[in-house]
Amino acid sequence: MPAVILLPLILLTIALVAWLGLSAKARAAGRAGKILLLVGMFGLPGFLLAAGGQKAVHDSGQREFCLSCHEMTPYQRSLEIDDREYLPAVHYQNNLVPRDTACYACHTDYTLYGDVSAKLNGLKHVYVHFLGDVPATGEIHLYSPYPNKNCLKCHEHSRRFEEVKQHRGPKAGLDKLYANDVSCLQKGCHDLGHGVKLLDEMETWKPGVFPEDKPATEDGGGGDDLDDLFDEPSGGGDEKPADADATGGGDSDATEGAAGGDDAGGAAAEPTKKATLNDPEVDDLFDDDPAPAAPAPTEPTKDEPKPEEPAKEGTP
Amino acid sequence: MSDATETVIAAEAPPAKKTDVKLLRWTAFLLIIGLALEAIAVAALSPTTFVPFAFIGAPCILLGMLLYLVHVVRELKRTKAL
Repeated sequence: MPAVILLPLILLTIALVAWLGLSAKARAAGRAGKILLLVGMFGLPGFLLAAGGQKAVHDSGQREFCLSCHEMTPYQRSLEIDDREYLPAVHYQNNLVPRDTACYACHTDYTLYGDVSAKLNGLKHVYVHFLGDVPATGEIHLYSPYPNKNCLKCHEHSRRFEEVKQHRGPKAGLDKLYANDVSCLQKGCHDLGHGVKLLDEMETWKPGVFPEDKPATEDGGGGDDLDDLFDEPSGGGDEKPADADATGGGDSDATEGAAGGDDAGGAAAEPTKKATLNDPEVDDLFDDDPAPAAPAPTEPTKDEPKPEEPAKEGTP
Repeated sequence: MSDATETVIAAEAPPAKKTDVKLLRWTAFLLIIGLALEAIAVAALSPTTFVPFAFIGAPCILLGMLLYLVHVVRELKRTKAL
């Protein structure tokens, strides 16, 4: 029930209960008074407790609720980092998890009692916040190792996940990942987590600022976000963001092509045609109305530097 | 039970005792505390408002409702309906 309805109802009930309490003697004598007592002192409070409790439990899963404690401020920032290989940021910025419940989406166990255990953990957090010793920034740890199921509730059996070479390699292996025998967050894989200690060195993503608006010195920023996430840099594994930047974090298809991209053989080494929004085939899909044609490509002026020709799709 | 019998029982029922009125006032007091905490939590939910509602407000409301049920049972016993 929305707060706009619930709040006035609660206030009205408070007024009714106060009136019933003050005139209890008179109300308890008559038949109508007894019915009013039943409604005001049992029916309405019971209903409001259920509705308010349900709303409170629901809203406590909201990101704003988690981030209302100052200890969580760096974790909010980790969602806003401008790095396409930074797991929390990628998931948050690309809506891979609902933004409103970003914390809850990843930190709730995928079991029957997952929600309950998440709430109990939340109560522990509240206890520590008010009565315990709050750990320093970067020293906040999970109560138990992060279970793969929390990742796999979305990624399990997804094509994009299974096709990543590292997920099938000797270090991980799909069976081991699915059985939780090796952790997704193991060293050398996605071990960075929120990486709150590194946040000061990193830039923040500004919605509305697009890659083409950035200075030319920065990486191209083109390409598929998800490809950037899953295409490991040449070093392999998820590297620290600073390193990732150095190796071309957020690498465009062009740099990937130049650097060799996926160094594996098989499908990865074979030149594959990736669909992009500039791809004429994809354009055809969206061509509902042929009349408003795309603006004609403008010739770069002599003063402007000529943009670098991206590598042709499908060329090695 | 005929209407005549019902009328006789109602007429013979003694007036509400002072303790019953007190019980109702306690019920009202607990409900008001609980509902006020709930109103604060609904208006601005944060851990600071959620915890008092969950650990003080909700038990207050439940206790108030329980006291009302005690009042009802007493009332029924008093009127010999139970």
